[in-house]
Amino acid sequence: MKSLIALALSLCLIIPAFGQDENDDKPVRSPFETSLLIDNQTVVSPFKGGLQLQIQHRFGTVKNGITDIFGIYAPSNIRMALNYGITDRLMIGAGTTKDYKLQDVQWKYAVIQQTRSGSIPVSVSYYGNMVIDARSKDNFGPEASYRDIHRLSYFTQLIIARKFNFKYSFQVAPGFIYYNSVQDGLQNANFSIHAGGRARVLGPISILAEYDQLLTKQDAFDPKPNLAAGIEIGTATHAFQIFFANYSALINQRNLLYNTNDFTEGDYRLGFNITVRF
Amino acid sequence: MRIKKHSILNVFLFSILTTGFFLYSCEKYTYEPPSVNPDKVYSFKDDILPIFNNCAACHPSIHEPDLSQANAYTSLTEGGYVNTDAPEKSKIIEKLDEGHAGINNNSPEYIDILGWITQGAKNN
Repeated sequence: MKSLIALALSLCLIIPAFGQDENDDKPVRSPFETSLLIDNQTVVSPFKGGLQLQIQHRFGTVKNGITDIFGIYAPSNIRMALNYGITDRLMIGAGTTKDYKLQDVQWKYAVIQQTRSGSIPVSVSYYGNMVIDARSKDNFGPEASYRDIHRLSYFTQLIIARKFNFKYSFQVAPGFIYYNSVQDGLQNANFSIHAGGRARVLGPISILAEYDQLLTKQDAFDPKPNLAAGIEIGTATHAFQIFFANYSALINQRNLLYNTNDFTEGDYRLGFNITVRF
Repeated sequence: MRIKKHSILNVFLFSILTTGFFLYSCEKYTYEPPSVNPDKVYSFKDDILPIFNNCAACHPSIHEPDLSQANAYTSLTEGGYVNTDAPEKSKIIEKLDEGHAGINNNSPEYIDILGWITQGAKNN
């Protein structure tokens, strides 16, 4: 009996070993189509030497109906950015956003990559950005106490993702926001949480959804969370995302701390992201 | 789980560098939200019209009111967009309260428009 148990145990150990080859220890293929998931980063980065152009666009609120064709004719916000893969794991990028004249630099490092064999079950990436608010000085309180450093804000996030199978990927990301300068009633240091996922439905078409929430309470007002959903179409060189979202600032910290669009009141905006890979 | 030693070293060095950079470039500063200055005379020509330079692309070609330099005053005052009895209830202020074209209720442009309405929305 003992020998039978020993044999069974040996087979349990040996059979999976035969099932594995070198490919099993490689990182899983594209847990997400691109480095963006609606209003957030994913664990995906450009490959070494790869360049990405990103165009993010948010129309106005849909609440005015046909008058402005559900926000398409309303004032919109746009961000254009370039990301570059220094290595397969390290990305740097820079972008510019129309509203509030926000200029950003960003970086992302893939700390852990989920393997095809499952020996590493999740991917973990560290994302950070630094944003310069380039509006005039009088947007930062009394001129007498103004310093250039008051224009800076930061966002860091630890993105934990798992690709469950070919169809489904999910990620959760706690974040930390720091504004050098805020008005009374807002906190300089804030925590946030994000959760989102992708489900492939038909060939290159996927469904996307995400939720973002600021965790730190503010005295001045109550920043609203974001609940967004849309579709993504991926090709070899492009990824198109089109969705409805509450956020419109295109920069994580600005969205999280200042958003007033409330999904319970239908304050949705149509938006799209285009990623071009070179 | 197999994580390479050099990956851990890279993350450690990267964290030290970024933390050092943040500590050097961080400050904790808060300021009172801007408010209307009762000692200032808000001029339509000098304070308000320059704000509308960025608005004329959509107003009036797509939306009312007409914010072109020639027609902005008439369009705002006769179109029901300003309320000098309750300036904060003015239609233009309520629109900016929602955040509009990069202006919100903390922007100096918002304070100038509110100050101008508070002082009677004159064509000065």
